Amino acid sequence: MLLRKNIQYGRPGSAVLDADAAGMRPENLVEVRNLQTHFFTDRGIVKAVDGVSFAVPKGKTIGIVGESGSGKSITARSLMSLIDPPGRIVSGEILLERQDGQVIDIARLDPFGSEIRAIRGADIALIFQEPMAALSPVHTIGNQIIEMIQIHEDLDDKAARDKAIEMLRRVDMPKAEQRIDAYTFELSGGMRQRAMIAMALACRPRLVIADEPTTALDVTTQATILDLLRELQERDQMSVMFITHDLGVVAEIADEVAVMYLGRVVERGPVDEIFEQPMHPYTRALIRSIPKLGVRGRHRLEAISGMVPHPSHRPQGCPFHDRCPEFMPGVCDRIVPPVEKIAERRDVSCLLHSDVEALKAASEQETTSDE
Amino acid sequence: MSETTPQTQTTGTVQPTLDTDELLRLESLCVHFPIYKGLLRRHTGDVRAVDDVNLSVKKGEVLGLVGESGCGKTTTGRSIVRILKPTSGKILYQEEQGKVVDLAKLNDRQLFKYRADIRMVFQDPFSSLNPRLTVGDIIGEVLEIQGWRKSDINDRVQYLLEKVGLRPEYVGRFPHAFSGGERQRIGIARALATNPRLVVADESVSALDVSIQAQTINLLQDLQEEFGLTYLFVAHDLSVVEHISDRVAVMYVGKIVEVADKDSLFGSPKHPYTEALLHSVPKPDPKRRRLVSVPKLKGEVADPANPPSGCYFHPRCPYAQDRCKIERPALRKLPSGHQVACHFAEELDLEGIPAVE
Ligand SMILES: Nc1ncnc2c1ncn2[C@@H]1O[C@H](COP(=O)(O)OP(=O)(O)OP(=O)(O)O)[C@@H](O)[C@H]1O
Ligand SMILES: Nc1ncnc2c1ncn2[C@@H]1O[C@H](COP(=O)(O)OP(=O)(O)OP(=O)(O)O)[C@@H](O)[C@H]1O
Ligand code: SF4
Ligand code: SF4
Ligand SMILES: [Mg+2]
Ligand SMILES: [Mg+2]
Repeated sequence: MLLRKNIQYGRPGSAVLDADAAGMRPENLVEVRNLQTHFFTDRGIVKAVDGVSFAVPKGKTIGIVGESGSGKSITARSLMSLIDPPGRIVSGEILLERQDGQVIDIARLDPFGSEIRAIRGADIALIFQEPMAALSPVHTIGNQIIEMIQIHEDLDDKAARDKAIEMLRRVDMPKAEQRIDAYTFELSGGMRQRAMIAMALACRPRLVIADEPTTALDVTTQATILDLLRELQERDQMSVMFITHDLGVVAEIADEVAVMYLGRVVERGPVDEIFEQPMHPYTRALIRSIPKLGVRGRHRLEAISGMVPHPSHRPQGCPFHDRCPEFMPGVCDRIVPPVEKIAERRDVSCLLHSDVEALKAASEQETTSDE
Repeated sequence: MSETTPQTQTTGTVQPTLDTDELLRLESLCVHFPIYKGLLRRHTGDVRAVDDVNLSVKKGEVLGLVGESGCGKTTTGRSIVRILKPTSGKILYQEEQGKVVDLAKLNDRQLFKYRADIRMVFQDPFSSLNPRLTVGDIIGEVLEIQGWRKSDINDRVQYLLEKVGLRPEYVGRFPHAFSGGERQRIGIARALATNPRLVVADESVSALDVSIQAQTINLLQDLQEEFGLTYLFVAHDLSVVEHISDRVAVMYVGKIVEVADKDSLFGSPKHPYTEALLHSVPKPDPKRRRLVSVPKLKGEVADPANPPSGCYFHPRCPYAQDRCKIERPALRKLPSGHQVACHFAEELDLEGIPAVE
């Protein structure tokens, strides 16, 4: 409790904006702008998310890829304002267009307030890698889905139960009328995942954030869950933010891709362009380092050297510079690459694509004016 | 040629033989876990985790072993390194000098010398290393058991650390000070300590991040070439298996359903289960997702305690016919060299993954 007193939750300023004032593009459901979510630990500040910008288009899927620790889950949790102390959103905007056209900045909401609780589940729902993180072992899956429905909708028990069965049918749960009364231990991994998806979708959210929902599953189960998500998305026109470290999964499911490295989005664009013309050396290296089905001759993989630094040991300049094959000494280790807009919905943060001379001049000016 | 069966001599004793290129051969291997129920703990059935498996591992090859969760891959691996005692069947191992022993029959004392020859790399780099031992002790432990001299152990550990790309001065550190990828290297060094001939790698790159996974796969390949190792490589990631293997075996509910050279197994599978597995793999190429032609596999892996009649795959098989419900297909060899357990392997026109450059 003591801790809480010192931290100010929800940043000042009004969270509700009208659409014009927010300047959101009409095709986007969510725009994340320069988001920073930091953890204030005893050992120092962990900048888990450090200036992330991307947009979630309406009715489409954005894939978020990046290695372990790149800040994917913390970004996702920030969108739901589910950051536990000692962490908090320190700056940036998370603009969400609500059903009524109103735009709300989630970054400014009180994470314990009623507004964010109304958004969770109804506007944005979260699907986890581990279904047991979302499902209770001591209640039937039906009761959990019914409870979720009744929080957001005024339905009596019978109607809510019917709706829960319908949800289970929609996620292809075999024998939905019977399984509704099952406990999680009576279900296989794939069925638990379906139950959790049914619960997440129960209130027809406009955005579903799926955080590695298929990582622990067999390829066969994964394939059916991916098909299912695609199908449900088409039917309800919902947006999906799909987090994974599996590039194959991204290629299967995403319309757009954001590549994260050390708390930043380093490249973003339509899925075809990311795979065919990757612009960031990290994206290129990632794509080259995975074994590709169909490549049969004996060969070595092009592994990226070294490993992802811990966010509390972020390298100076470009965070990727100590592993980058295109490292430019004196440049990449000095200047933090800004986000360069290449085209609509396509940007990259790498000094190969920036006007280095202009940046150098600007940073020199900054240092002299600091003195 | 490789169908040679053990020659039964007139005296009735069995003299096991292996082909010269075989390192290991599983014959009718079964591992059944008994199920006990009720107050009296009555024996009500068995989980047939490994059920009549026949499989040979050739010297110097990487044999991939794939199949959905619960199909018995780990149990097969654990029997080979004899952490588990099989219920029945043979594990024939050919020693360097050509002598063949059945590891399934040996007791702990007799197994001692083979424990140095056959080693395992585990899946989880976090739980498989004892947190209270230093890296040096973890790698050297098996050498001590095998009776090595202290100074030889130290030299060997230094050498191994270097081989797996870790700094020799890390020898005194504890596992918690290492990343997942580094811990997996420690696990590999531990497996290689005794100069093994066969390494069972059970999902040993599955838990690693893409860039660390690529480094570890390269390391495993380099070490294999350098030391002429043989791998049984268990993994659920078919792209990784395709990359590293020479041959691949596919398991379904405790049984081998197909074995073939990597190229033909991926390029022209002969078992419907293999086809379904291959087409479930997400392809890292957004263009190819629009070309999906094979229906995705529905339903779930059968319960190995209560498998279906006939072909275990029949409830999920899109090509199943009446015969499949009654008659269990045996693993047999096709003229193409595939070993396959399907009644209709010759007639079916299954789709593989075309080779790409
Ligand atoms: N409660 C916390 N306290 C301190 N640091 C944290 C906390 N939670 C997360 N972090 C750090 O934030 C960084 C980003 O974590 P995050 O979970 O978002 O990564 P991720 O991209 O989802 O990785 P993974 O693929 O492993 O799930 C990590 O370095 C992590 O150690
Ligand atoms: N000690 C045990 N007691 C009882 N049943 C077991 C035991 N070990 C494994 N099994 C069962 O045997 C079957 C095969 O398990 P195994 O771990 O070999 O599968 P696997 O192919 O390695 O699966 P995964 O891909 O999930 O690792 C499963 O049904 C499992 O539940
Ligand atoms: S800025 Fe420099 S170090 Fe960073 S990705 Fe680009 S070329 Fe590589
Ligand atoms: S035997 Fe029948 S059920 Fe089994 S794989 Fe072949 S066609 Fe399918
Ligand atoms: Mg995560
Ligand atoms: Mg296993």
